[in-house]
Amino acid sequence: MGVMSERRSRLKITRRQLLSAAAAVGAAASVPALMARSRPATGTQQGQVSRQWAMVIDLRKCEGCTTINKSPQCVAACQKTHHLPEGQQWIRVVTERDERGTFFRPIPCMQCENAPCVQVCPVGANYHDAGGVVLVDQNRCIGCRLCMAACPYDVRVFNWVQPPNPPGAALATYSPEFPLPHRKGTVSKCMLCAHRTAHGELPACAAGCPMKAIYLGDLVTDVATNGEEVVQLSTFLSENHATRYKSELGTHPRVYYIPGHGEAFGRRANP
Amino acid sequence: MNDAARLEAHLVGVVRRPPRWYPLAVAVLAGIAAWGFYAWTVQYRVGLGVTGLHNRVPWGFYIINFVFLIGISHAGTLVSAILRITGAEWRRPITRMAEVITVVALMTGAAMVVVDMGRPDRLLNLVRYGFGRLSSPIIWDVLSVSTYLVGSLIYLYIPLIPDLALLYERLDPNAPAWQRWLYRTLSMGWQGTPRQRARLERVLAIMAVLIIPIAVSVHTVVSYVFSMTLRVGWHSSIFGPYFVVGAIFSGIAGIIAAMAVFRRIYRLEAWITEDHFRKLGWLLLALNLIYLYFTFSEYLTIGYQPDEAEAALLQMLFSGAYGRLFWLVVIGGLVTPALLIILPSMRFLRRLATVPVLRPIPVAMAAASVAGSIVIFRVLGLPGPSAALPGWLSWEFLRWPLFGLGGVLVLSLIPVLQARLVTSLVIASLLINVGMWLKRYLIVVPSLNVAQTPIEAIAYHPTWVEWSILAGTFAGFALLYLIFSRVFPIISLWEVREAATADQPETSREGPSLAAEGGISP
Amino acid sequence: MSTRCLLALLTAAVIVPGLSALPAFAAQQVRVVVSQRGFEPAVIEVTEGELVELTLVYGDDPHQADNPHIIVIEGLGIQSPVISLANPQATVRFTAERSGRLLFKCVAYCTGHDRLQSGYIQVQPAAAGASPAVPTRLQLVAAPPEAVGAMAALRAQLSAAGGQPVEGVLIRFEQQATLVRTGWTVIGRVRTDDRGVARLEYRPFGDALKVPVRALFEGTVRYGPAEAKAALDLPGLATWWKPPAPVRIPIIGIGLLWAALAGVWLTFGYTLYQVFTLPEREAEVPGTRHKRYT
Repeated sequence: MGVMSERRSRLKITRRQLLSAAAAVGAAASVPALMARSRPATGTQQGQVSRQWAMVIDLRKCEGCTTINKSPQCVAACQKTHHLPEGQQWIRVVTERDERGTFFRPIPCMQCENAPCVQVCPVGANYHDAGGVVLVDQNRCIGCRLCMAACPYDVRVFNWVQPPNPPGAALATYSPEFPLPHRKGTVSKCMLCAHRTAHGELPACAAGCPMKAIYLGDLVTDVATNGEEVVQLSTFLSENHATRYKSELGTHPRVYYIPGHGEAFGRRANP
Repeated sequence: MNDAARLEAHLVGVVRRPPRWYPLAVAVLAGIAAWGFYAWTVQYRVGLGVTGLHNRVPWGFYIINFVFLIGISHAGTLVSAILRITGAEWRRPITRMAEVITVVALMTGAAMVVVDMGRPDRLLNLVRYGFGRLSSPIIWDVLSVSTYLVGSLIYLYIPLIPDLALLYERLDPNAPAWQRWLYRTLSMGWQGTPRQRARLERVLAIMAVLIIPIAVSVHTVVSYVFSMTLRVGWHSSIFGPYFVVGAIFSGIAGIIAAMAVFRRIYRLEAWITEDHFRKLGWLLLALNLIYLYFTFSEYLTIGYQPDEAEAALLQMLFSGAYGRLFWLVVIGGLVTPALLIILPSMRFLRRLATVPVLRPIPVAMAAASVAGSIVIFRVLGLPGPSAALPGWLSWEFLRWPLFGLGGVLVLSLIPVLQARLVTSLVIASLLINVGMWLKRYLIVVPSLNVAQTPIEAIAYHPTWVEWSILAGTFAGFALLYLIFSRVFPIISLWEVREAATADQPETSREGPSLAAEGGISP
Repeated sequence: MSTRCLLALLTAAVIVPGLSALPAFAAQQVRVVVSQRGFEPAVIEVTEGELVELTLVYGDDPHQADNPHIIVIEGLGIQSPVISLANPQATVRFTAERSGRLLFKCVAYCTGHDRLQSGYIQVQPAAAGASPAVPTRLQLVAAPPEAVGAMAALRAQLSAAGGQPVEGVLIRFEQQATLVRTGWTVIGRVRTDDRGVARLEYRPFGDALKVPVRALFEGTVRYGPAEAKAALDLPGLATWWKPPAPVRIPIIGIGLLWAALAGVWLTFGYTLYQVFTLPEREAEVPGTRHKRYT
C-alpha cells in the first residue's frame, strides 16, 4: 500500500513537473515569435497564384477631372470607400509642369519594394504583405512619425485627433488592409485597397476614375486592367515609355506612370 | 585643507538647512512643471492635434527639445570623464554638477520622446517588438540613451558614495528618518580604507573610460534619426560628428551657466573660481570654432551646386521665411559668443575705456530713447503716417543713427565685460544655449517644410500646449537639479579634499575628530 | 488528235480564263525611285482593299558614295529592307485596308533625309458598285511553348473562298487574360505573306494554364472578315518579376551591435557589484559608533 501511494504520489509530482516543463517550453518557444523580425504573411491570394500588385496610371488619360468639371474622382472614391475624415487624402492629385506644359499626377502610396517607411519603423507596424503591398498595423503603431519623415513621396497622413468614425464602425473588425475604426495617434495611408484586390475587385480609385486612367497590375502574371480593357503589363509599360516617380531614390516603387498631359480627352497642356 | 574643511561645512550646512528662498523656488518651478504636465494631459486626451504639428511638419518642439536636452547631457561626459582621464585637477569642484546635468538632461530628454508619441500608452511596444527591429534609428536611440542613462547614474553614484558617508555622519539628529536611511544605505558602508579607496578609484576609472564612447554614440544615433531619411538638409554624412560636436558645445555652455547659478545661490565663489570659468571658456571656444567649421562646410557643400530641393532649403534659410532666425542664430549664437570669450584676452581693447564718449550709461540712454521713438512711431504706428511728420522721422533714415548708437554701445561695453570674465562667459553661454536650441529648430523644421512633391506648404505655428510643455520641461529640469543640490552636496567634497591634502601632505590634520579616529594618512 | 488531247485542251480553255477571272494574285504595280533629291513620284494612288506591290529603287548616282535608305510606311507598320548600292531594289507587298492618306518616309540617316520625309500614298475608296466582299477563312494553329517561359508559336492562314491565299493584309493576334475581369489583349499584328500565312512568336502571360488565343482579320473592301480561335496548353506559369537585391554593407551587422551592448552592460553590472560589495574595514576600532569617510 505504502509503495502504491508512493508510486502514485511520485506520478503526481512527475505529471505536475511535466506540465510545468511543457509550459516553460511553450513560453520559451513563443519568445522568438514575440520578437519576430518580420510579420507572418497575411496573403492576398487569388486562386492559387501569388500576386505582386502594381499600379499603372496613364497620364494621357488623366485630366484632373477638369473636363467633367468635378473634383478629382479618384480622391473622392477613396475617401468615400474608407470613410476618411474631411481633408485626409490617401491619394492626391498634384499639378506638375514639364517642357510641354502642365499635367496632373495622382499620387497614391508607391508601395515601394525598398520602402524607407518599413525600414525605419521601430515596432514593425509597417510591413509588406505577401502581395508586396505596404500595410500599417494601427494596433501596433506608437505614433512616432519617423515613417512620415522618411517617406519621400509625402503620402503618409497622421490621425492628429480622433477621426470621426461612421456609425457601426465600432463593430467592424479592424484589419490593416481596411483600417476601420480609425485610431487616434497612428499613421495611415493608401493600402492599394488590399481588402478589395483580395476579392478580385479594382482599388477604389481605379474603379472611381471616370477616364479609366488607373490600372491595377500583377507583376507575376504580367496582366493589368482598368476595369474595361485587359493588357499585358510589361508591353503596356514598355510601349508607352512608363516611368516611376522619383525612381532615382532607389525605393523601387510599384506605381508606374505613362507620361502624358490628359490629351486623350482633349486637354491642352499649354493653352 | 582649511578650504576643504570650510567647503564641507558650508555644503553640509546647505543640505541640513536649505536657504530661505528654497521653498519659494521649488514652489514656482513645480508650478510651472505642473502646468506643463497639465498641458500634456490635454494633449493625451485630445491627441497631438492640439499642437501646431500637421502632416507636412510632423516634428516640432518636442523633437527639438529632445535633441537639445540629449545634447546638454554631454556636459558630464566631457567635464567629468575626459578631464578625469587627462588628470586635469581643476575639474574637481565641478564634476558633480556636470554629472547631475547629464542625468537630469537624459531623463527629461527621454520624457520628451514620450510626450511626442501619438500613442504613449503603447510605449512598451518598443520593448516588445524593438529587438526585432534593429534597422530602426529609433531603436538605436532607445538602446543608446538607456545605456547612457544607466551608465551616467552609475557614474554619478560612485563618486557620491564618500560624500554620502560624510553626510550620514554629519547629519542633524533631528533630520527625518528617510534622510538618515538614504545616506546610510547608499553609502554602502564606506569608511575610507585604502582597499575601499583603491576599489573606488578603479571602478571610477573603468566607468570614465567606458562612458566616453557611449556618449559619442548617443548623439550620433540621435543624428541618425534625421540623416537616415531622404529629406534635404538631413541626408548628410556630416550629421554624426556635427551633432556630437554641437552636443559637447551646448553641454559646456550648460555647465558654465549651472556653475554661475550655483556659485551665486550657494555662495561658492571661493571654490568655483574665475580660473574654472576661464578654462571652460577656452574649451567652449575650441568647440565653438569646430562647430562653426562644420556649419560652414555643410552649407558650402549643399550650396555650391544645389539641386532644386537644396536650393529651396537654402533660400528659406538664408533669405526666406527662416532668414531672420538663421542669421540671428549664426551671429548672435555662434559668432558673438566666440568674440565674448576671447574678449578678455584682447588687452589692447582696454584702451577703449579711456575714450570719454564711450561711457555705457549715457550711451545706453541715448540708444534707448531713439529705439523707443522708433517703436512708438514705426512699430505701433502712432500718430499714424501723415504728411505732417517731417521726412527724417522714418525707419529708413533713423535706422542708421540707431545702428551707429548700437555699435557705440557695444564698444562701450567691451571694457566693462573685459573686467568681468565670469559675466561675459555667462552671457556667452546663455547666448549659446538659446542659440543652439534655435539651431536645432532650424535643423528640424525648415527641412520638413521643403516640399518633396508639389504640395501646398503649411507653416508651423506652435500652440500653447507646446510652449507650456517647453516651459514645464525646463522648469522640471531646474527643479530636479535644485532638489539634488539640496539633498546631496553639489560639489564633490572628497575630491576637493583629496586635492587639498595632496597639495599639503605634511600639514598636520585639522581638528580633534580626525586625529582621534586615527584616520589613514593619504 | 486523240480524244484525250482534245479534252485536255478544252479543260485548259475553260480553266485558264476562269483563273484569270479570279482576283488576288494580280497586284497593282507601283515604282518609286528613292534618292537624295526626294521620292519620284512623291504621291502614289492605290485603291482600298487592293494588293499593292511597291518597288523601291535606289536612285542616287552609283559613282558617288553609298547612300542607304530604309523606307517606312506609317499607319501600316511596314518597313522596307535597306535600299543601297549593294541592294538597289526592294519590294513590299501590302493591302491598304482603309481609304485615306498614308505617309511614307526614310528613317535612315541619309543624304537628302529632309527631302525624303513626305511621301504620300493616297488610298482611294473602292469603286462604287464593286462586287461584294469575298468570304474568307482563317485557320489558326497554336503551338505551346516547350518550357516554362519559352515562346509560343502562332500560325494563321487566311484564304478566300476557293482556296486562294490572301496576301498583304493585317492579321491581329490576341490572347485572353483575367485580372478582375476577363478580356482579350492584342499580342501582335502581322501581315500575311504570299501564301496568306501570318506567323507570330510570343511569350504567353496570365494566370491560366490553358490560354485562349485568337486571330482576327478585320476585312477589307474586297475580302470579308474572319476569325479563328485556339488554345495554348502551357507547361507552367512564368514570371518576369524578381525582388530587388538589397544592398548589404559588409562587417557592420547586428552581431557587432549586440556584442558591444552586452560588453557595456556587463561592465555596468561588474561596476555595481564592486560597489555593492565594498570590503569592510579589517579591525573595528572599539568605542566608535560612526564610520569615518577618511
